[in-house]
Amino acid sequence: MSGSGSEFSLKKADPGGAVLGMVGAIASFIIVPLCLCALIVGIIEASIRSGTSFMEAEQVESLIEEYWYYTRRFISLAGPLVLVSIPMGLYPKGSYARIPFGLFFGFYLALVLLIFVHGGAVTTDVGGLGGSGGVSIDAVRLTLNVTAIMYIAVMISVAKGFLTFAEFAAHRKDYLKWLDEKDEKKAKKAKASETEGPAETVGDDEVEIIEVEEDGEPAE
Amino acid sequence: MKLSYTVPKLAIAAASVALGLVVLTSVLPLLSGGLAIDETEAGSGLQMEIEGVNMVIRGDYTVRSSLPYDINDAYLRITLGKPGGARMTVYDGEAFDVPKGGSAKVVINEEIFLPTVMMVAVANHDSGKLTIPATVSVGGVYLDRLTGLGVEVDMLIDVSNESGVAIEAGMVPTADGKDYQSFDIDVTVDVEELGGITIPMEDGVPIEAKFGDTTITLVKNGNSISLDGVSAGTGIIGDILGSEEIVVTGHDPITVTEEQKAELAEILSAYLAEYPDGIPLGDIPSLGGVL
Repeated sequence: MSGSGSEFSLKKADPGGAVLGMVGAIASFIIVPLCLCALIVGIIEASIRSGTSFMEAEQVESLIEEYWYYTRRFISLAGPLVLVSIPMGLYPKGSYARIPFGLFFGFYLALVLLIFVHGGAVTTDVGGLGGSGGVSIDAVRLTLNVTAIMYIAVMISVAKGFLTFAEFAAHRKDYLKWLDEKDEKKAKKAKASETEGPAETVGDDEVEIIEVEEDGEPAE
Repeated sequence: MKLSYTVPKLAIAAASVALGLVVLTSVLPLLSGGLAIDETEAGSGLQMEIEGVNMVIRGDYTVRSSLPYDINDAYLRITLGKPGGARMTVYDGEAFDVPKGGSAKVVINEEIFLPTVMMVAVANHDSGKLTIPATVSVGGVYLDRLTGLGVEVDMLIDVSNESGVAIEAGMVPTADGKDYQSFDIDVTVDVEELGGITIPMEDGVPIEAKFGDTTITLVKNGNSISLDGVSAGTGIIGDILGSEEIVVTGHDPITVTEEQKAELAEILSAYLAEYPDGIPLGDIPSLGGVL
């Protein structure tokens, strides 16, 4: 059997998974946005150099500054997702402990997307451009309307949250098996240490010493 | 592994990838400046000129796209008035399409009754000139309306420079000491240089334009016409929409078409709708009360 105690216990966790989860989240929510922003800035600068851009140099500078601002904003909003990905990776699939973190991850990601694009319309203020011929330009605003894309992304994020339940159901047996194997290993270690000398703990874990008969059944 | 898990997981992964591709192919080119609006010829940009009792707005623009998809339902809209304040749309052309990597021309030629324009004009302390705040909006949607881009340009159009008409603006300082405020009264338009246009009236006689219980008063002195005052009561929107005739006291009426009256009535109603309890003019002591 899978042993006793809450599934939130660190004894039933997988530290390697936590590291993997955190690395994956850092890549998704920090490195990829930075790369994407660098790509956009690179495209804009290349189009300026090649003379194919419609924008003036002042506009471009202001626009690039805005893009970096939005990137920094996304990273700061998505910061908690990196933290949540640690317990998500820490608790293996099929564990009850993973469900709340998975749900939170999906819903918070949806919230981040909605906040980041102000519900779907992102407005970038390019600033004033001076003027000539009796017309002075006070401000230029670019509004990108990605409402439809954003709501699809939000639905995907929420679906990812609910997918935690399906994941739990699909991996529950594997998880319990993994726990049994883990317990078995501990028991074997405990038995081995018992033959070497009396010891009731293995590492930090308290281990119940069970005498095992030859047929594998616990002794009465 | 159970299908109840793998199928939705694969579906979500596929949707994520598809969405990523849409963003890469549609949103990135937009962010890289793939849509622009330029003057078709040098100097063919937005111009406002006073012609008789009308303000004429002209402009010839080309919308250029370097986007990988056609832009549908593109629009060009011109709004007068300060952002955040009372505004009036003076041009809202028909929607048009811009082909991928192509361009489309937009020609503006609109006439607006002068007092209507004056309601949103602003006088600038620094330059001493009368300017009209305007916003030119251009945009469109594409990729089956999945994405859209709009560009709004806030500009101040110097009426005197553009029209060749000297304008004296009576400044009305605001209570909070701002540089300018929406123009309401005491603007004088010197029409001397308007190519021989003669104002068919004697000097010093007020001209009243009445719409329901709203009255716009103009005064002619020499070759100048002054907008002397605007009065508006409450509950007049319905009356304005059924606009009455424009009267010139004791003189021949100004030729104003029914279309102009209807336009003014419509714009006035939208303007006045912002002030259901009447226009607060406490900051304008020269009028001595609420109009």
